[in-house]
Amino acid sequence: MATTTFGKPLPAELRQAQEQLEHYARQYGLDFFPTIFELVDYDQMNAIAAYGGFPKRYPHWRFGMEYERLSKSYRYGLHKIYEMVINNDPCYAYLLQSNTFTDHKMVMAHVFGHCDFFKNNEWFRHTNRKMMDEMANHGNRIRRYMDRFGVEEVETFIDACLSIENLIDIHSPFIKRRSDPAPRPQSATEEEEPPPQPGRFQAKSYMEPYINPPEVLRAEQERLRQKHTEERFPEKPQRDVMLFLLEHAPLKAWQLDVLAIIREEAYYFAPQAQTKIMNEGWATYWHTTIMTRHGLTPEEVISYADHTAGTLASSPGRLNPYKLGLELFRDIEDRWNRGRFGPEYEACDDWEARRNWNTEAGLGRQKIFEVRRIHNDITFIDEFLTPEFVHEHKLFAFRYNEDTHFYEIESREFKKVKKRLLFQLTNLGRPVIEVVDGNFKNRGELFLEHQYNGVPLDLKGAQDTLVNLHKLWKRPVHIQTVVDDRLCVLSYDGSEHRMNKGKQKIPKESDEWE
Amino acid sequence: MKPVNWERLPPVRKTYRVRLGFMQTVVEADNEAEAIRLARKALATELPRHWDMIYQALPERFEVVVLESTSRAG
Repeated sequence: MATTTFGKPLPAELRQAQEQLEHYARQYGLDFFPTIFELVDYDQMNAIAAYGGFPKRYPHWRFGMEYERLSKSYRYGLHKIYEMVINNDPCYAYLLQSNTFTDHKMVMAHVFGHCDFFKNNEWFRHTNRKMMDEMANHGNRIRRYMDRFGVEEVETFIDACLSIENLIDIHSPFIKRRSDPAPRPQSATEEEEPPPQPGRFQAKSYMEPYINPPEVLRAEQERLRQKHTEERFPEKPQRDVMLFLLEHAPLKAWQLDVLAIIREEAYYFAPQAQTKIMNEGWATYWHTTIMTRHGLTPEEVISYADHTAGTLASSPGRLNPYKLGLELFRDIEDRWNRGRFGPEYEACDDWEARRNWNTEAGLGRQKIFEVRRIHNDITFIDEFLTPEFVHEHKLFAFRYNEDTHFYEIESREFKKVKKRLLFQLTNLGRPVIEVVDGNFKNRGELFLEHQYNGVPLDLKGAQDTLVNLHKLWKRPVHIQTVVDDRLCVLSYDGSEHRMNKGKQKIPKESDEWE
Repeated sequence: MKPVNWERLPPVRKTYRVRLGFMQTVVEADNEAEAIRLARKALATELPRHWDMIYQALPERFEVVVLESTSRAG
């Protein structure tokens, strides 16, 4: 059995509550790794939260900055972290010491929902279940590099890596996009590929000029060289920019190791961002179910209801993942319980008949377990958001009005609302950027392309990222994007930024959507 | 006048009040078993979050009271 990290183990009263709630959770079919709860005070909680949930990580200034922000925010009463749970085997969960007993029970039931989700959702299948140890190892490796090469140098390099940490391919663990890469040579400059040679016929030396005429060989060599330079590198656009740099950037061994560490951690955290709505919805579904049926005493009801209402509060223009996820899971359960699915139901266009539809199918619980296994936020919303749900929960598309300085309802139309929601979630709301050429202009320059979807890049951010990318690639870097509806290439050559704007206008994306 | 054949008439439907814990509903049914079946359906629709509990509850957990005879079905 693993031991605690640095918080206090639970007192007997809470340990008993944990056993009871775990028993109920397992009775309902939740399946999770052993879960270790620890009590921490608010300061420790802020420290752990600043480290992304892991008590031991590599040293970096941004964790300190985040800790300061959280501490100040807590002191001013702007936020309070009830719990923290880590996807690991065993799962670690931190409870805030100052919480009431009711809160502790609610948090425990909530945590069991998260732990079940981590273990069973397909998008988490590839995550490292020993990440607690792995993160500590990463910390040791980076500390060793800091001792050897200096804190400043290593930290500056980490800054450069972090600025591109979202340029990964979040679907790559599930899709084989290419054959396995060849092992990387020691250094990009040490082992150059030999230039292509033309084929020669066998001939005795006195016949050589006649059988293999030098001018023909030269012409053939030139043709092959031309063909070689025209070959694309990479063969197809590569979305995992970090991997491309790992394989091809001229970096030292320690730098490659640091880059690999940052990339591994980025992949570990990616499924949590991909399933935020589902994961929180699932955990809230189970804490409300377990608490209202088994976990509450009469005097605890008000406190429980108050805190749960606070968590589920939503306001116009703000998407509350807890609320949306919970209500969608409940809606799916209700629909599958009443048989409100399938071609017959879909074909029914009588609103009243649809509302009262009930075939007593009773498949709700089974269905939500299936949904939690295979979906992520995008597929979850794409598949299960219905016009009835949007209508009932007053989901609208909002837009900021520059004149009034208020968010206003832009549309109540189902298709627009759904499109807006899916758009926010695509690629975690980040721009899609790919490496299209690692040998741009045959000068070893790096050329990236932004897949423009109507949202322009933040130019200042893009320029800063190019500077960091240049630190890694060590040659000029470019990115093609769209600025003011025109194709545009932003470049950085190590000393100055340039922007080449095309003349042709890019047609605006239509609002029509099927 | 043609005599009424009582045996060929459908049974008299009764009104039942069915209670499960704190929840109750009133249904029209031919017998207690049907009343429980209809009550499960009505209560589960009214309280979708307790669907599983309502359908898993044993018939003995339902408290069924006849209110009055209403009409002949059919």
